[in-house]
Amino acid sequence: MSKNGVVLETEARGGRYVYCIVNNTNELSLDNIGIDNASVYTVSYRDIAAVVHACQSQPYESKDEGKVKEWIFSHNEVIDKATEHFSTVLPFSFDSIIAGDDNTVRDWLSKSYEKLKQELERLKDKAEYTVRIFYDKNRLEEKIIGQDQALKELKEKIERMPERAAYLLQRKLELEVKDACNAMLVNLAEEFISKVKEHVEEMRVEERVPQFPGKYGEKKMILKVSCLVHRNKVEGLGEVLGEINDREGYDVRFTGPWAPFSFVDLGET
Amino acid sequence: MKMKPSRLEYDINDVLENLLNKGLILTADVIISVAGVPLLGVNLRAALAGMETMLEYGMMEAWDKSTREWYIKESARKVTVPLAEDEKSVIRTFGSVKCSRRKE
Repeated sequence: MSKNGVVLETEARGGRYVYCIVNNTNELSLDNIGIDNASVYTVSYRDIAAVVHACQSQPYESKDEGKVKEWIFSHNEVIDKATEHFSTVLPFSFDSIIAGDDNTVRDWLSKSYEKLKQELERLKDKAEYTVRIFYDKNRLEEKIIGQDQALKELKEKIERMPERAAYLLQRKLELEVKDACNAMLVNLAEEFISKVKEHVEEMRVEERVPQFPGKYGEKKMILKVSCLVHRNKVEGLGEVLGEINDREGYDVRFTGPWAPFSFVDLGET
Repeated sequence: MKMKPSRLEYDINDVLENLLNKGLILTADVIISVAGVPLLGVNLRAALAGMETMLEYGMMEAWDKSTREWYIKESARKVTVPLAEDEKSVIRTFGSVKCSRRKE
């Protein structure tokens, strides 16, 4: 084949946008549920398949944030549909495109078969859940002062003093309460982590995000964990979280089930 | 009271985080390339994760363009250092030097 011919062929082959990997033997179509209504279908190798759509061999990029979010939600919906259909999925990150055609995808599946199959087995009957625990800062501080005799006395003393004279003592009180608060939060986080841990296969403590927009704006986050939970254990986890949620001054947000985004891992490929 | 997990409208934060910062990424041998430069999964993810902020300030385009240009320029002037008989190249990487000139 001439050199030009090769180039042309590569261009014509385009790319395949990869949504996820599933257990499936037959090649089948999932309709136009993809990004920008692309027609989504499976490419199989032995008993696993990639859920893909045909696209150009370049990433989806846009300056329009709304557009990008729409794409991301479409990707997520395809993963949800695939989960309904095939139960276990290995989700791909947004904008993962294989340069080539169905055969390239199949080649790649065959090369990565062992690892993909192993992951599909490991994640079978499990889903990811996100748990966020919030606390009410003012209430926690009141509680700390209430429980500590020295701090309580200091506070009462400040209240009896004229405002200016109390300035330094007020600062001292604030610092001590802040330290006590931080120490308590560390203990609480540890307590919550160990409680959640009993009901999950795996968990990942996410980077602490101090604020969360919306309903919980007034409250601060103590903890955010991603949990891989077996479907038999979701209720148990819900019970433990319910107990924490019922405590005064604490709120729990429990979202899912998600595809195992935080737990899928092919190691070094 | 026992809690049930939910997936409501306002859980978009979880969806965005899952799809931009998590999930499988492709390895370099099958990933797309843009303008002849392999756009590795990691770079793409990093770019997308910070996208909102970057787009807000119009940094993405400049970042993308200059990075690719720089890469192309650097690859074009690959210098081969002659090796002695018992030497071999262990690692090969690009580097850059930062220097500043004081204004007179």
